[in-house]
Amino acid sequence: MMNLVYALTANGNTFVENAKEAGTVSLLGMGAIFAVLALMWLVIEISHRMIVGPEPKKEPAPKTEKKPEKPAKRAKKNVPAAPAAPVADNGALIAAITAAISAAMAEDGYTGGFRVVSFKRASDRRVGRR
Amino acid sequence: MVDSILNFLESTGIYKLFYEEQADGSMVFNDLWWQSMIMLALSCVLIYLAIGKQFEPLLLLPIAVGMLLTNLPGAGMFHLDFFIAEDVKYAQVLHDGGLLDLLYLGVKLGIYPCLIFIGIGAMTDFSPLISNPKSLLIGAGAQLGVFAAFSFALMTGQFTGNEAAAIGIIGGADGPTAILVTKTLAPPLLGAIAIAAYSYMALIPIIQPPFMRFFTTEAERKIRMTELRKVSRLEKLVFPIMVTTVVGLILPEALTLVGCLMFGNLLNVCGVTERLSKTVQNELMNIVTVFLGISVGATASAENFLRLETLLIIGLGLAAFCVSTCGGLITAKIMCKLTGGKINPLIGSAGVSAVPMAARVAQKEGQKADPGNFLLMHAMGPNVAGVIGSAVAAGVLLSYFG
Repeated sequence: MMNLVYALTANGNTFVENAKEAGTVSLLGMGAIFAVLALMWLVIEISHRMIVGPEPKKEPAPKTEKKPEKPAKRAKKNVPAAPAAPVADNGALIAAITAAISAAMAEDGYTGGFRVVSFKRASDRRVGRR
Repeated sequence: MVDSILNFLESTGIYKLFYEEQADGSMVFNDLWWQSMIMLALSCVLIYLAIGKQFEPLLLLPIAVGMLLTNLPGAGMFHLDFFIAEDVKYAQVLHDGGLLDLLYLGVKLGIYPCLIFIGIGAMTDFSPLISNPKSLLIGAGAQLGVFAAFSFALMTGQFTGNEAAAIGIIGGADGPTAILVTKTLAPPLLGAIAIAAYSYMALIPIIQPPFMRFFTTEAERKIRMTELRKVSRLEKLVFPIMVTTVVGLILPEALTLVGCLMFGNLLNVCGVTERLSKTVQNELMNIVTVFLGISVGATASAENFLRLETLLIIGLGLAAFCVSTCGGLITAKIMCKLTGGKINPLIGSAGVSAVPMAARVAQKEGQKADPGNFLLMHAMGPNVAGVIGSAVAAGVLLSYFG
């Protein structure tokens, strides 16, 4: 076995010499590749910061969604919370409608609770009719 | 009259198949005539694979035709012995060379691979890489096969260090890079290495998926990655200049390929050289592909190709591809763990640089686990990082052995 390890191979080196060279080149090569590409990563990150600026912190929810919630809160005393809608826009819409109904009923002197069971989207022709 | 007929018969390819001319002008029976027949059959198989099965037809067809032309006896279109010598006698090539000898000068002088890289650069969108530069590490990990195949080849004892390096670069999964390294370090192996490299690239959808499934769990394959950020025009402009500078300063040997790649990309992203960008993407790329393919195929002559080494090269090339795929997957898996599951490890397989085939395979495997998962753009980051990584690997090997 030892003879095989130290015997000359067809390329003129022993197996041990070949293995040593293979190990050296592989370590050097993979090290160099990782070093160069990691340096590129670093430089890309730096150039991104310089060009675009630091990563913005997570923004709070847009104001347009929060605004309609205020009247809904006002109506909270009388009205149970509007059911959660799957889409944010619908939630805002439901809150606005509920708040409008609450305000209209308060004008009429009604202070009790109520529940919106359903609402229908009116066709264009009907909008504005009473 | 009879002499004329005899002269004509002696000039035919059939006669030259069985009789070869000696240095003193006498004709002796060629015992190895069957080798030429095998090579002609092999070139027909490659033509069938290119046209019938559409395996990388744009390159495989010119390679196969080059192989056919060089193995037809008597045509004298290509002489590999002109180019094997340490100092090539270019005057002899120009004076006595055939058409393929002249076209091969573009390979020998390293012109075609660089021109192809300009075209590839112009066609490549580096935005996925710029928006997620971490993927550069996956591209680096996927070069593991280069050095694994190099080590295997060297330890067989059948190849010198230069030859082993040329075989190893098959693991980079990049044809032009493999050709550039091989023409510099081991010109006689060019035919076998180019054919192995392009064949395995065509077989990526078959080679990679078993490893992808082996190295990832079902849950990992289902990971959905967050949308990539938008990349500004200025970032796209800075990127090629920055990469060229970094590579040039650290590894000048890799600059030939990387510089050409980035030049092509700059033509594309700068927005003021649309005509040049279109030319390098189409006309230049197509012309060079024809020249490169046919002249590389021409190196696969019978005496040069039908050897035990060729079988070893094909086997080692396959091992290189497999280990590179595993290297990319393992790197991506480590990054997945480090980022708390934000990276789908499937994109690691795209770290081998076969663009965009490897990224498509990642996308397909991801959708098998979760049909709503779209990994293509995420996989393009490691994929183009692999192009840079294999060029850097080539630079390392050239600087060590060149």
